[in-house]
Amino acid sequence: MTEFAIEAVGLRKSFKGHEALCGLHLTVPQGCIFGFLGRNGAGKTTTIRILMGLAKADQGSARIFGMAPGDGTSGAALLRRIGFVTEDKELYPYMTVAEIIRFSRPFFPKWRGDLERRYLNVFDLPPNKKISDLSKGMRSKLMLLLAISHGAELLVLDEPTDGLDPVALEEVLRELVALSASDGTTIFFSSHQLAEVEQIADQIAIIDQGRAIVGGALEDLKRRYQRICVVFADGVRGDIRWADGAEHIRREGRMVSILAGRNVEAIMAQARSLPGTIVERYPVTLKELFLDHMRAN
Amino acid sequence: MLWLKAWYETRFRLLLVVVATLVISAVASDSGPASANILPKGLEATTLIGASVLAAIMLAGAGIKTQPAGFRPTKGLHGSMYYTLSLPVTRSRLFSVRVSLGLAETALVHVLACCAVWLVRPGIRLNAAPSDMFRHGVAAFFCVAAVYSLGVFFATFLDDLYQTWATMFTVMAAIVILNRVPLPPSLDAFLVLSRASPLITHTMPWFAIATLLGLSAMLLLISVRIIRSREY
Repeated sequence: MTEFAIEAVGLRKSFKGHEALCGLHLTVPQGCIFGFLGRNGAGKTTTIRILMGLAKADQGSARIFGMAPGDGTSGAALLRRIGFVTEDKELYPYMTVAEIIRFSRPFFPKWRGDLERRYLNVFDLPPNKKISDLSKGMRSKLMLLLAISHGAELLVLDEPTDGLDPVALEEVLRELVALSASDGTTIFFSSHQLAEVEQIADQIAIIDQGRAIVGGALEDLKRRYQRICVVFADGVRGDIRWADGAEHIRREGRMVSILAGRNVEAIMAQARSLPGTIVERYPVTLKELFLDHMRAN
Repeated sequence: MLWLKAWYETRFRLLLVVVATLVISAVASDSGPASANILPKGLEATTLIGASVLAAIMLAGAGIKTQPAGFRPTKGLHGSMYYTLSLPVTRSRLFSVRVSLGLAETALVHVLACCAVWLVRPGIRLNAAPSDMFRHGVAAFFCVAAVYSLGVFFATFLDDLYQTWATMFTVMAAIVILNRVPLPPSLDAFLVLSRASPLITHTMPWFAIATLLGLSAMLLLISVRIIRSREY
């Protein structure tokens, strides 16, 4: 049995000459909450479509629980273990909330009636309301209910909090953490909301232009990356060749801001050795990490 | 449950087509003796069987796409296909359920249309036995099923509106071509509805039926292959 819920190796995918994925590598350990970050058009949804068997990679391979996603009986068996929330949160508009639950239930032998009732209540979903009359936020909650209630071992959530108000957002995040903790469900979610990813994710990957540029356990990344601010009393003179590990360097007036991925002490020592400098270091937030990598890329 | 979904998505179309068939039947109703003369021309039966062809085009399955379930425009139909595709069901099964239900509904409309022909056209009753009408109904259904399969085939890569137009144009083009190319009546599939109808020949057009069956099977097999290999 594989220790990874998701393994993608060298995924490549092009659309009409545009490379959406350029050799993406991704591993998602079982039982973790994995935040999948990137700008619009970075390749997040394409990756998710490949993982769900909706599209095929031009090169590379994707495995979920060690199995290849796709059509056929093995693909269908795999889908029984995955809960999916789509990017646009569209469900059959002519059904009511109760009808779509009744419709979905027989497809999943491990359907959890207790979770269904719990999330109907927690998410305040009106059973007799038509899906076409629900807001996007309510449809997000309904899709989450459907994904969670079928007893999925892996939730693949494409922008799951899109359209949610702050109260509902908190509710959903809390429930996802609780689900992962209580049932060991692996949660793989893409998002633009860095604060919410930082709040619940154990692991992250940042992708840009179809490649993973940063990845790993969030706590490790935060420990590893440090912001070093060097203030030059007389202004910055010439170009400074910083020690290895200084990944992104930004000059702002008399200050140089360095995002260091390693050798933090060496870079600090180098900065202190320069005449007339004040050197400080700060922990980085996920937002800073993300923005710095985006700027550099 | 896939049957229920397919039923939700087709019931209003079915209702519309049944109403259209009944209206056409009422309009075409004729008890005058002149109508008896029309039958030998082979056009009489086609008047109402046309309703079956119309039904086949209207009810042609959308493959695995979600279709509108009512008369009002609805948002979110296209996107909900992703939910369908995330269900633990093969695409072939999704396709076969939708196609089977649409075909069953088309058959129902066809039976209605045949009964209507028999009831409202005394000319047919004068010239043919009920068994001939039954044979005509069976033979014509294979023609209707071929039109339905054509609609299904177009639905695998065209949107609803274009699918309907493409099916209609292809059927019209086939009729025009077959009128100009002299094929033996036993092979000319469209003659099942007119000159080769059992109402006139009093025999089953087996060759035409075999041709239509082969055509339908081929179109459905190609459609299922497209759906299985397509990216969404």
